Amino acid sequence: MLLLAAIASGATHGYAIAQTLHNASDGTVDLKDGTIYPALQRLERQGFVSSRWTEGDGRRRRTYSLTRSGRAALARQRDDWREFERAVGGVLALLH
Amino acid sequence: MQEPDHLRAFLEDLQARLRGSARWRRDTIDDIRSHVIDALDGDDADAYRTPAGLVERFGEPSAVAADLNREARRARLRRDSHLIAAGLATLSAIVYASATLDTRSSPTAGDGLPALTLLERKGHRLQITTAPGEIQHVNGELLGLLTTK
Repeated sequence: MLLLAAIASGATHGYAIAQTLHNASDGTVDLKDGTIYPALQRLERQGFVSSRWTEGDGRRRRTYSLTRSGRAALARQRDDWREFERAVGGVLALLH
Repeated sequence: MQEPDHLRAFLEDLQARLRGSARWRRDTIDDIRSHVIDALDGDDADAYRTPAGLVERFGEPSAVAADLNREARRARLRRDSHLIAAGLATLSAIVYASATLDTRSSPTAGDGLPALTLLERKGHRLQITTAPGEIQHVNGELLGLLTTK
């Protein structure tokens, strides 16, 4: 969900995706950058993400984007997360 | 940007550990090279500037390769299982259609075609030509095999 959200927010290259996760979470999501590539490949295999190559400055760059089913998956996962968050919040509210 | 020596060594180490097609390995290495060059051009330049920093920030080549290889293996298994399933489905359709068509009698488009009706009831999509006895498609496949019947 976090990777899909990072891509949906406009991060399209691997490094930008990793930076978005780190910065948007105030450093809480602090993964080794190398861990995002197997995850991106899995998301692409699942049809949630597509990629294309561009060339410039003497190197190839891969640009990632969400597919239609990726956007739908992100919406579903966000709804699930919010429901979970509400449920946990409701239980924790008993402590006040 | 010129590729620094420590990045080249890192990528060579990683590439030697990758197990997959040549294209997949090349794409993966190019993707990671681009990542590190972006980092060296950006806010993380200091973290990525040394060999130790690169490993600390990106991960050990052995660990990164293990994760990538695991994902590539899953992709291969999925692709292979799809091929096997498609092959079995085709084989089943050939066997079923052959057995069914062998039992029909003088089929024409207008005289009942019990065997073809049975195929239709089984959910197959049939397209019958005007020439008696010829079937063009069964689920869009097997054209050559069935038109000889």
